[in-house]
Amino acid sequence: MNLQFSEQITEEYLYDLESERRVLSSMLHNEDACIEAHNALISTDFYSPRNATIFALACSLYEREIHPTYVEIIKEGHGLGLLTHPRELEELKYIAEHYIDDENIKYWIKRVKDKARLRKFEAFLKENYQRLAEMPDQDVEQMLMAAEEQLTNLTALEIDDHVDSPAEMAALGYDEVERRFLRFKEIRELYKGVIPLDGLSTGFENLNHITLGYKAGDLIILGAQTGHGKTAFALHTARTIAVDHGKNILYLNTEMSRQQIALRWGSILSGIEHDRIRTGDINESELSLILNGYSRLRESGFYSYPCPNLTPEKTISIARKFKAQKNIEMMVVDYVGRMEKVDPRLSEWQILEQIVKTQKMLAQNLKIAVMCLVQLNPDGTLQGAKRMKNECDLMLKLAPIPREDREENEEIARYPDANYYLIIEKNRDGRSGVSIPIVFDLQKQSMRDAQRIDQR
Amino acid sequence: MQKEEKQLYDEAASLIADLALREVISAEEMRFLLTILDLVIIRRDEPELIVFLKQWAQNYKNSETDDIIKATLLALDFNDKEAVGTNLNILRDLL
Repeated sequence: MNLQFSEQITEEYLYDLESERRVLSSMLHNEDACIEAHNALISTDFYSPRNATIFALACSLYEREIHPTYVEIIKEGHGLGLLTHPRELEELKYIAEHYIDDENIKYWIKRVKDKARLRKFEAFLKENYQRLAEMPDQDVEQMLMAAEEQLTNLTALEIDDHVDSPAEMAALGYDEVERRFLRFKEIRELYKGVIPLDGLSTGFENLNHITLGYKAGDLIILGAQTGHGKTAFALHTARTIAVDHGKNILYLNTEMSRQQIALRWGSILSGIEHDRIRTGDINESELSLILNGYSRLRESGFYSYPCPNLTPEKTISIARKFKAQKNIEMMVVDYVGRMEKVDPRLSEWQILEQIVKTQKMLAQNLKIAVMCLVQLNPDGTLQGAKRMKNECDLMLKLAPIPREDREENEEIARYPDANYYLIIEKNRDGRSGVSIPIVFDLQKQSMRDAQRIDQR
Repeated sequence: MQKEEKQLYDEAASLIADLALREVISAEEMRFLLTILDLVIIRRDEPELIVFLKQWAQNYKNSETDDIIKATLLALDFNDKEAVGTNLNILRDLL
């Protein structure tokens, strides 16, 4: 056999220190680079142990919302006993000084990632060569099968590409059923029949009951016509998750200013009409009620990002940043129709489909729930609805209850205060085609389940 | 950041870190000096503190008062702006 590894030749292909330095240098100077690298790389992707350490330090600082400048890296590294030799400092200085302000950070990240994968491939080749040399009489079929499995795992780009074996799938299924069985028992005994949620509370008891909450990885689409409660629904969701349950949520708004969003909160948290707050037509006790509401907002997990020029790429970058720094559990995009066109040649439905696909991937990759608000046509239909429906896990529509329903539908008559339907158009995990009667108070910007009154 | 300014920042940070690695200055002194460097060049914040430091440097006599000022400065929490302001007033009186 003439299989010899030439260390000199292979090593040239196995690492690229220049790319590693470029990635680190960009992280030290540019926040976008930090977001990209933090999301795409891990320390072991770096060949040089020193570069791996600098990367770990930069990520650790960034997660604590400290921009990893040269100075901060020195402080952190010194404090942890990781920068103890002048030579290490020299390397860090070289990285800090040799920053080239280019926009190709993704290219350099890919180079680092690819080299890391090549090193794994080299280890695979060496290991199998060794096996071949040491055990020439082994079962060829078995040896090739084992190698194939190893190679398949290597070609999978992400850890998520893991393929479940029958045994793993069976174990997972059994664990899930057992967990649910025990939970159901607990519900009956401890919670007197109230089902605990699998995800974040929706803010509506009936919707919680059907969906078990907004789950990590879910894409939720909420459609409504102009002026029929899209933003009120988004802020109702934010209130439930961030104020009532103290979880972190990121709210992206393409239409409203910071002041407008802040004023809406005043109304939502005090129950005082929005128009009166806007004009200042309130008395002193109402003012104190509103201030009390804002103090609850101060303690909440609500992060707002008004962004008139939102693009799908920007949502990815912002979501990654807030996931890393604030560990958000949900992101709300209010609303997708106002997002900037990526490609002006695409038609409206193609753009919406592209946006929705991006958001679904984002939800799965970051393990957060993503809610996208969309505008319905005047006839209540949605452009590109079929394609959107395919992508999302939960599709909801918000629409006023028609007068004929009020007059002729006996079931709706049992909800005298209801004025809107929350319609479940699609629900991947449960019942759909259900219309939940709710109360939407436009003036107070509030929403709640409608009260059912049983006839005697 | 301008090219010259960045060069100054990098060189000054390296010099401070190098002094600490060679144990010419303590870890606390290094952290303080690096924070001041970030304040001046990156954050452009706390101008009153910088003015005070210049005044102190001009009047430095290695006295007991200077030791107190130095100890107070090293213990400053730069994330607490209110505490920095209060301490700065005390230090001005001392000087």
